[in-house]
Amino acid sequence: MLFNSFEFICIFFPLVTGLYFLLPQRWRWLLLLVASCWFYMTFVPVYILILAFTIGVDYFAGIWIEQSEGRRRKLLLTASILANVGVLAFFKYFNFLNESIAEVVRGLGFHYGVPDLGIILPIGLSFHTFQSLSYTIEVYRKHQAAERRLGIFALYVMFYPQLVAGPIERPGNLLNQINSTTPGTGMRAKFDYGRVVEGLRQMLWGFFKKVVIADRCAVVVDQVYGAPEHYGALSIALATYLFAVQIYCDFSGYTDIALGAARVMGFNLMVNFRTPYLSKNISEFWGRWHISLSSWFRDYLYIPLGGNRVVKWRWYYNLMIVFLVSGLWHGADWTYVIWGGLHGGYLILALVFAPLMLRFTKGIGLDRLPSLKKWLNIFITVQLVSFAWIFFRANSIHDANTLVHRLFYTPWALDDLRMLLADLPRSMLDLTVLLTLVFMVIDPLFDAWAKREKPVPQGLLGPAIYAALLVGILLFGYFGSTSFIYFQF
Amino acid sequence: MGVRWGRVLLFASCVLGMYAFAMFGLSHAKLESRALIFRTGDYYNWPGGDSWTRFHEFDRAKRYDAIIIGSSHAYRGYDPEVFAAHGHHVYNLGSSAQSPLNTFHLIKNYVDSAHCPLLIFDVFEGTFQNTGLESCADLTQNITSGAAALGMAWDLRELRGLNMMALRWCTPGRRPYYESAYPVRNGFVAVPDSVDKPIKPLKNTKLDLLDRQKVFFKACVDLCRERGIPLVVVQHQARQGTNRVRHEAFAAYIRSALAGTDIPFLDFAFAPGLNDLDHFADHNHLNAAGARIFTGQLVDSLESLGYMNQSR
Repeated sequence: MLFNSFEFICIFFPLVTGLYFLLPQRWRWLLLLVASCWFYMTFVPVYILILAFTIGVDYFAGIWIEQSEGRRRKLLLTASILANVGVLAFFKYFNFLNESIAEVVRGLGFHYGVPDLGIILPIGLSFHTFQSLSYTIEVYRKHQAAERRLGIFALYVMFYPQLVAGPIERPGNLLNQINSTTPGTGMRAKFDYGRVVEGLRQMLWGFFKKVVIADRCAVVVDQVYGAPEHYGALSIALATYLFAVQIYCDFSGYTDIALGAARVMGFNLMVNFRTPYLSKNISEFWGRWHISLSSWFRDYLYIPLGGNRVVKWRWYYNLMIVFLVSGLWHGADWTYVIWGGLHGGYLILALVFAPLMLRFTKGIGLDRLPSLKKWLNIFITVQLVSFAWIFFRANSIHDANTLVHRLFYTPWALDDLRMLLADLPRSMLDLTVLLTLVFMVIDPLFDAWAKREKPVPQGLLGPAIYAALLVGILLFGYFGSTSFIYFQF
Repeated sequence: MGVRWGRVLLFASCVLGMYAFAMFGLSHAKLESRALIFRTGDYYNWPGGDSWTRFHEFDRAKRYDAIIIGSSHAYRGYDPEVFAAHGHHVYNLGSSAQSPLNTFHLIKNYVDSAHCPLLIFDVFEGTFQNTGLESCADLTQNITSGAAALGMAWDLRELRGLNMMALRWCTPGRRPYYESAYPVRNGFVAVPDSVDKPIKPLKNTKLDLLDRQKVFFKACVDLCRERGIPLVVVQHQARQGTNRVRHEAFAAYIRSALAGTDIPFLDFAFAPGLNDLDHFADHNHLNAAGARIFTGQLVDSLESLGYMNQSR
């Protein structure tokens, strides 16, 4: 069930939320668990068994780890990690590994007979696997008590608003809210008009980003990225910038709907995006983009590898490993590995050349113009991130090569846009670009309102603004059964 | 509590007012002689063409010997002149991409047993595989019945349906923007084109009939039975390259849906008499020559089954 479907908006969400507040608090966990199972089973019902396996393994692992000490404790954690990663590896990476090995073996002139198993990736597998893993690791580190009630633990892994595309929660936040004993918080929240309105506003902003911006941009992006050999530099650049906006609106739109739906019920999920395209460097970008994943990698991979408290070459190695794994986490394809590698490379180069850049900016007097320096840094960061998106979005390595080659070796001619307009209605392209520009201007403000960092205008203005947003969705939304990009991860 | 409901009401009024204002403005303000609303989405249709003529010429008070309904297969494949030659007066309410969802609302609002002693429902698998959006875009702007338009827009269960209806309400008394490319006779459109060279066979995609369209097909059947309208389900000839296995699967579904009723399914898909080059206008539509032959075969079949004999 998609968040932007009739079934979710008109039936599932109002029904589950209504029952949530009507039921006695001690039964709410059961309602949410059943609703979450139903939500997940509307995609591919049988894949609930994979979730059940993950939940079962980590539930018992958590209890046993808590009861053990020393080597046995470590062994149990290793077993839990292997079981989780094993499921992920089989469903997500088997086909990829099989194809990659087959290519090498056939390239060497040998016969390769392992068949493609035709595995369909369960929706959101990477998200709930990482969420479940964070629980066993936190129990192992003695930061979290093991959960004794299977249903409550299952709800922690399956909580429907963030089940299929995050944010990847930590037990310290979500599990504690499910187990809340403080009246008025988490599972013990009462119906609060103000909080419900805040949640609905955030959901509305999420829908706007998804339906009005992301899905419109997708039409242009799909056209160009579907046949890159037909287009020149200008179309490819336009499509790439639009993809940068599309993926941000698609994913952060989903997150806003998830956070809003959870907030209506009294849960505070972690913030996942902070206007990332206003970052002044790549390091800052990763502090603002998919924060729940980057902090997961920081806590459970980068720091255990030694982080930056090691010699320089090892520090750079750690960074590169984290980003290559992050690339693979996103998708089982070399394009994602290159995307991750590019980001790792950007960070390492920034560290290597930092002293030189400092001297350079001082030398040309840019330090005396902080505002110009800031916007210049933002501009450069957006270019680097957008370039990397080419690999993320390209359908294959071959397509990515074609896109990069044509981006740099074909002339920037307006004729190229005419070619694009031959395939798309002019009004479609005009409106997409116009709405995207409007969005970029209003996003920081609406984002701050959604996160309650700035107060929404009082009186008539507040409702009027959100009414206009809803009317904008109704009139300018690009409707259809378009899925969310991050569901595939 | 009262203040809160007041706020909810205020918000709802704001949304309604802004929506009505914006929709009215966009459907009347023009850029390069085209209403701005048509630039905001690809699902708004211009009123006009054969659908406009068909539904505006249809006389609901008149008694016909039969009404034909269905997709473009219906309005391009069932020639009223052939019926007339056999002494039957028929009208064609077929329209582009008309799916069972759309057909249901047309039957509900345009067909009753007093004026239609026989309903001929052309079925084609493609119409069971789409949501009905395309037909809704066409019919909401072109049909005379507001109730039928509203019914199908509502049953789409998505916001595009609401927008299409809002456009209809914002432009009352609108005139057709364009004429049909071919003359419309009793709803029928004869296409003279022929296929002058073999067409590549269509890709054999999986037959994936939408559950929702199956529900509406069943609803059409039930509605006809409830209203006492005799119904015949028909499929006209398909080109030789058509996937027979796929067709058989579709035909089996239709037969199963009609099981337990006395409604016949006349499956002409691979009936002899037509050839791909001379009798088809494209992949799956009959041309004028094909329609004449097929309609002759259909009338013979109907008469042999005892239908339409009373009108002669």
